[in-house]
Amino acid sequence: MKNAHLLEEEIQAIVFEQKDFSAINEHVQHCTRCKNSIEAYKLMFKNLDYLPAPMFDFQVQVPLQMDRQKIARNPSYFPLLLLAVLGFVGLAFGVIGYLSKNRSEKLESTGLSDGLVICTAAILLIGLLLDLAFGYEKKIKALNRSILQH
Amino acid sequence: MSPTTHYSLEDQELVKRLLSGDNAAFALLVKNTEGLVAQIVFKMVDRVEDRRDLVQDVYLNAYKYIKNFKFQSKLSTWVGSIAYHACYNYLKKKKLLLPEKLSEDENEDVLETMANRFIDYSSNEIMEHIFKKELRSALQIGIYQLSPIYATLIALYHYQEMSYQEISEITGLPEGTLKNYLFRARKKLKDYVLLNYKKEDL
Repeated sequence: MKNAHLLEEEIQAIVFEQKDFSAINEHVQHCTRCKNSIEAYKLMFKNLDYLPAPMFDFQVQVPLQMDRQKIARNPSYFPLLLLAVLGFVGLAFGVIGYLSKNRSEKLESTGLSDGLVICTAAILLIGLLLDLAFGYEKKIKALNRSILQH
Repeated sequence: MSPTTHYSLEDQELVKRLLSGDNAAFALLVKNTEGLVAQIVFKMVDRVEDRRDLVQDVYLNAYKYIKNFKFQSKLSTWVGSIAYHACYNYLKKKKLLLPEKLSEDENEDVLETMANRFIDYSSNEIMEHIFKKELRSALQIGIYQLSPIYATLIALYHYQEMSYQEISEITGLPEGTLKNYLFRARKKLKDYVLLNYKKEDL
């Protein structure tokens, strides 16, 4: 028979793992302290089942009627890439055109200015579209939350 | 451990309907899992307003990533996992994941008082009722005194009656760690309840 008091691990194993330790069980029969400890665990965890289940004081809302494809996928960046490429191509052509002409002709050249205009417009567009794309999900979430609050 | 596949027909049907954008299926998903999600969120997050936002995010993410669900667990376990990780990240962000302090002392007198009290009260229905009510109240408070992760583990194992494997799938904790945490959580809860008895009844 085990004479020393049971370890906490052994006590929990008896209560929760339903293991049979004959030596330990014999000790429990004669040791009030260990017996009480086992009973305390049994009593507590038996009563745990009777605690009220937590419940939300709000209703989880079904997401708004959204196009699932739009939620599931990230926004398509193809148009943005196309614009960026066009902008850079325009700028490249403008620079090449400018460098390939004589000094006197450079003053009359519109290649560089055309390229710059296209590039600037493309960058502005990219900025606006990126903002639109990144803000999309955030706005949908905010919309869902505002519906919840009402 | 190789991932097992759970081909529950109910889950399969529900996932199919969710993928087709069926809102009634989404409502059913919420109905089937809100008990589990509530257990996790209530145990891990104190602020009511934050709970609301987290729960809405959990279900939005479930809706969004349902196409990635590979039937390697039950659908409810998968949603539970989203909830657990959402709450975990919230706690991490708010720096609320504090290390647990374990009290090693055990008060023999309190244990004896508690056990004797129950034996005495067992013979009297009213007294037994009062004792159980007191005990349940102490347990309810005690659970919220535990660290959020310990409280969640107790709720999942003892209240939701989930297996170690299911809890491991939800929390991502290895089974050994999980058992260790659960052991500590139970001890901590027992210590709290006994301490409560010590203060009030001795």
